[in-house]
Amino acid sequence: MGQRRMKSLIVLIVLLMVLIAASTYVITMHNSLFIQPQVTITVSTTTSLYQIGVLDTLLNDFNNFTHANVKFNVLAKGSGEALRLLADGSACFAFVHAPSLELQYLEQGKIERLAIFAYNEFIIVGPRTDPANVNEAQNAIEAFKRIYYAGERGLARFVSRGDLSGTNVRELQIWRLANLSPEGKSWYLKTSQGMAQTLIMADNIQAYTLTDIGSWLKLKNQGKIQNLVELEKDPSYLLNVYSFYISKSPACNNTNILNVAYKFKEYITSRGQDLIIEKYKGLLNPVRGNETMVLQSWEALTKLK
Amino acid sequence: MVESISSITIRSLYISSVASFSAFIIAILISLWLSKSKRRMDMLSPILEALVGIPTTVIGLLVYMLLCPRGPLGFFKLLYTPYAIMLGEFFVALPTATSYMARHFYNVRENVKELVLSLGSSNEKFITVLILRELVPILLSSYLIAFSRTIGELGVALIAGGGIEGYTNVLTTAIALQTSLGNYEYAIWIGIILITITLLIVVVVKLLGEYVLWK
Repeated sequence: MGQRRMKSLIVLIVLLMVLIAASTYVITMHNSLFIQPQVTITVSTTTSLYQIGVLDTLLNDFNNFTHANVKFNVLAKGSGEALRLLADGSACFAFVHAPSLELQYLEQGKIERLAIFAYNEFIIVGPRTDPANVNEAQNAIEAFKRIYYAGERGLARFVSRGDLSGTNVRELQIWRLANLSPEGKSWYLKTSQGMAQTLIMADNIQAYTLTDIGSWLKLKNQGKIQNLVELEKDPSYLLNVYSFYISKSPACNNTNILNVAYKFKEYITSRGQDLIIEKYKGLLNPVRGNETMVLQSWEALTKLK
Repeated sequence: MVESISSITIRSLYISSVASFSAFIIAILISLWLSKSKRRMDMLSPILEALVGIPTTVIGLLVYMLLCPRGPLGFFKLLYTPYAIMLGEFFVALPTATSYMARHFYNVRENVKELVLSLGSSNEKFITVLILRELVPILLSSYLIAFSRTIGELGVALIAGGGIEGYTNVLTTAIALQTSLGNYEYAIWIGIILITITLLIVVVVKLLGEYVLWK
């Protein structure tokens, strides 16, 4: 009886292995059949660019303009996850806005910046009544201080992304600059969700939050925000810089992908710039003409630890 | 810009039926083997039942680590393809289907054995045939369980599939993505479709089973 059991077990295992082998064979055949004819590139992007719609426009226009016929698979993630995927080689291109995180991966030699292509700004938004008087703050640091003390007195709440996205990273930098730690406070709420959800949550509970201006205007124009208003802009601490990176992982080190990467760099620094002005005025500014200014602020932003 | 709901739906159905069907087949083999002895059942079924509770996000992460370019199966280049979702959902459905089936197989087997013994026979083949006849309704409902588990899961589809529009975007990832963009209205429509599909399939298959297969 024991031997028969052993036998059936062995048969089962062999059967399983054959099944797995057969399926992997079919899958690899399938892949080579369907994907090889065109170049497919996985692109990870911060959700803000995806939400504004600018990334789709740029990628499509790139294909039309250069006849490159590249298939871009777009993953919309927070900048933290987008950069991680890039460093892993799970994505070969990335569009992100988190300078201090970018620097970490740059220093490890896992990614390479091809272009800084656009910028806009972060703004502090909050309830119309503005219980923390953020309106009167001179700069972002002071605004955060006001929110902190109002929060401690139970007058205000702050909603944080809490997901290491570009916006979240900037928020944490400003808390550090203000020498305050909101971590664990009852008025400091972490959503771990995208910008839109975070804004809608802040709107629902009448709390303060930090947002990029693109996502804010997009939602505002769709009528999804009723209770919040713009309260604070700060060109020195709240500049938001979008960069285009490629992965240096071996998985992305192939001539097809690198060709597309350099072509796309060409494109995004020339024709792409016009397209950004033309279609996304107010939401996003092209860097052309301001390259040194933007690069300097990018460098300054990486140093805010 | 947003792809049509029907193509997302078809993709979802395709991916989750492949995943749940392969899990179903393997689950049958495992449960047949398990249900043959009480010792196996006692030892292995608690483990299976514990595996049912693994969050799908954990399975998604494991599949990501397996398939990412530096991972052991990275050279297949399967990350962010429908096959990655199928692989992950296979592991999502397998323990659920197996533990359900094994329990029922075992009960059926015990009942049939008693019956056959009381009739004065001990022919193993006879027992197997009888069991197979009793099993059809169990097989159907365990397939349904596997299917609804795969079509409704988000973790694997999001982490290993990525929710790429036009390629790996399934109903659940579409809901997650649209929610993260603030399009709650659109997201709830997809949600309603998801619920309708699962309900419809359960009803249709149950009816088919009751009125066509054994009457």
